[in-house]
Amino acid sequence: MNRTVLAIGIVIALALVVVLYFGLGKDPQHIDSPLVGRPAPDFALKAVGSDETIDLAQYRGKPVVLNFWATWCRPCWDEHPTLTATAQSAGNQVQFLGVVFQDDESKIVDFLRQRGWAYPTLVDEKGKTAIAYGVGGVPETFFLNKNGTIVAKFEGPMTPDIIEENLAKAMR
Amino acid sequence: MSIHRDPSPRRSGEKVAEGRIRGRADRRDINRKSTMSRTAIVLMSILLALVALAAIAQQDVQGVKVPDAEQFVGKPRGTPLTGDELTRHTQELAATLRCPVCQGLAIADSPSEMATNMKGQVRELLSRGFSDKQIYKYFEHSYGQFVLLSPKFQGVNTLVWVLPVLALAIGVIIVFSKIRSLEKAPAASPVSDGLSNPSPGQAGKPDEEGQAGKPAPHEEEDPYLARVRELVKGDK
Repeated sequence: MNRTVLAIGIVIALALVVVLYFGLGKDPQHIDSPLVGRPAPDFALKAVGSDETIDLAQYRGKPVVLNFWATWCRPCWDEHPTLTATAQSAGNQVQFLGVVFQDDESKIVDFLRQRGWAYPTLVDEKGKTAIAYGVGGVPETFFLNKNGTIVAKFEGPMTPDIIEENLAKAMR
Repeated sequence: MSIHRDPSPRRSGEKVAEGRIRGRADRRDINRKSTMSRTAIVLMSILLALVALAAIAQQDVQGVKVPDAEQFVGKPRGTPLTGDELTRHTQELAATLRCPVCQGLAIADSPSEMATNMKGQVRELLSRGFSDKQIYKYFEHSYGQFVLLSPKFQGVNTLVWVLPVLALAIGVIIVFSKIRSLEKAPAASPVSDGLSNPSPGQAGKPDEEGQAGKPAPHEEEDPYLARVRELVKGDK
C-alpha cells in the first residue's frame, strides 16, 4: 500500500512539475492567434490626419503588414524607425498599414510628423478592429499574403530580421 | 335621389367620421384619436429617419466599415434584448469572458479600455439579437479559447475537468483502504500476538524464525497487560 501511495504521489508531483515548467515559462499575455491561416477580417477605416478611408480589400494582390500600435507604448516607438525604413524600401511590393490602438488621433499625428510618416495609419473607433483581430496589447503585427490570408502574427516590437522572416511567409 | 359612394378605400378616421358620429363626445374622441395617430406617424417617421441617418453616418458617408460579427458567425439567431434584460445579460456574459490585457480578470470586472470596448460589443451584439453561442464563437474566433474563463469540455481541456474528479476519487479510495487496513491491523499486530496464548515453554524464548514469537519486553513487565492476558487465557 505504501509503495502504491508513493508511486501515485510521484506521478502527481511529476505531472505538476511538467505543468509548472511549461506554464511558468510562458508569457501569460501571449495569445496563440486562431486567425493565422484564416482570411483577415475586412475593414475600411479612416486614415489619421485625413478624411480618406482605407479599405483593406483594396490591397488584395500584395502582402500587407498590419501593425497595431499606440503612442503611449514605448516598444512601439522602438519599432517605428524599422517599420518606416522597411516600408520605404519595400515600395509598392508590400503595403504597410498602422492601426491606432486606444489612442488619440492628435497624438498619433504629432508622433508621425516628428518621427516619420511612411504609410497610412488608421483610426479604430471603439477598438472593434483590434477585437476582431484578437489584439491583446501593442505592438502586435499581422502579416497577410496577397490573398488576404493571415500567415503570421507577432507580439512585440519589430526588428528587421523579424519583418524579413515573416514577410517571406507572406510573399510565398 | 342617388347616393354616390366612393369605391376607394378610406382611412379609418374618415370612415368613423362618416358613419359613427353620434354626439359631441364622439367627435372629440375622434379628433383626439386622429391627432394621436398623426403624432404617432410623425414620431415614427422621425425615428426611422434617425435610424437611417445613424446607419448612413456609420457605414456609407464616411465609408468606415469595422469587422462585423455577422461576417464570422452568420445572421443573429437569438432575440434582440433591450432595457434591463440587456444590461443584466451583458453583465452575465461579460463575467465569463476574459479581458485579454488583464491578469485573469473578466471583462465585467476590468476597468481597462479594452474590457470596456469588449463589453460594449457584447451589449451591441445582444441588442442585435445574436445568441450567447454566437457571441462566444465570435470572441473565440479572434482570441481562441483563451478568452473563455471556463474552458470547454473538449481536447486537452477535458483534463482540466476530469483530473480534479479523478484525484478526488483516488483520494477517497486511498482513505478507505487505509481505514480498512487500520481496522484489520489489531489482529496482526505484535500486541495481539502478545495476547494470544503462548505455550509456557515458548514464552520468553526465541522461536525458530527469531524474535517473532517473543512478547515485547515492556509487555512482560506491564502488570495490567499480564492480568489481561490471564483473563483471556483462563477466562478467570
